[in-house]
Amino acid sequence: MINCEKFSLYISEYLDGELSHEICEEIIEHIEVCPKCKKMHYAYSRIITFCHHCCEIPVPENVHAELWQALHDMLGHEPKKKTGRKRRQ
Amino acid sequence: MQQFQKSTILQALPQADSELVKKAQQGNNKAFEELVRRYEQKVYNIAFRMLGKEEEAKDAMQDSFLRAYRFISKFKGESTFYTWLYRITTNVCLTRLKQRQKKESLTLSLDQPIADAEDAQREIPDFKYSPELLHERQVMQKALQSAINELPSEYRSVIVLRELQGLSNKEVSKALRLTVASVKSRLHRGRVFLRNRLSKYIENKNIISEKDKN
Repeated sequence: MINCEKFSLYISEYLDGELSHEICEEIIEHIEVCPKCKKMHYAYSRIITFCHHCCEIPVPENVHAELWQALHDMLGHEPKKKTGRKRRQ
Repeated sequence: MQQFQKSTILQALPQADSELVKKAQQGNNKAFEELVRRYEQKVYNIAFRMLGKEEEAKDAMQDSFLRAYRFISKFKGESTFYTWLYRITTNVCLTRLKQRQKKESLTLSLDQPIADAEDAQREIPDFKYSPELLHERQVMQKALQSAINELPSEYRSVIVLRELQGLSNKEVSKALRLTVASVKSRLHRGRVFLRNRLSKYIENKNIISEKDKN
């Protein structure tokens, strides 16, 4: 039987869909009768949903330009990797 | 003729990461540049979320790609290229966080805020939603970044990769060299931390509507 303590332990896995059908049903039953856990469930699901929908931050133009400058400096100056080096007999 | 068309089509298809990695390992710099092009945005986002400051994210991104280039010959293909690259990025960021903590412990008094308030309040562009939700979401974006800035680093890397970059628990475990059980445990603790920090924004706030979810 799920109580508040177990609920707080299971909540993450529950929201990630990693629990068995039986435990999920018990959790749903518990949420329906426990306002505290219902509120907790709501808070977690909102945070997770928000994180998942958080837009990506575009790379600022100057940051992009500096990265490529650094890469070109490195690729231009570093000697090419030798491949298939043969041992002397 | 058909054979010509087939080979032209095949050439036009984007190459798999594994192909590009193989070429880069053989010294093909163009292949490495293509990998950078593919992952620049992702690596920048991980670095920005981990460090919370544009200037540091820029340096961390450069550092990550330069390291990836230096060590690409050691990549054995046991994981995907991007989990390997994200591991490098998170390690670079964690090292920077440690260095920052050392500096701060020397220069800041205990009652000063840990996060740089100005950077934490930096505008994070949001183009996806209607103007009505924009302000509310920007407030939440800033609050989320501030909360991430306060997360202990062991939870921060898991939250950034799992929640913001959308990796699976297994991918995060490979990227961070943790067991899946450890990832789950850190994820849970990280979420608890975020819930405590963000609770005032969640109650009675329409952060994301049902319409936006679909």
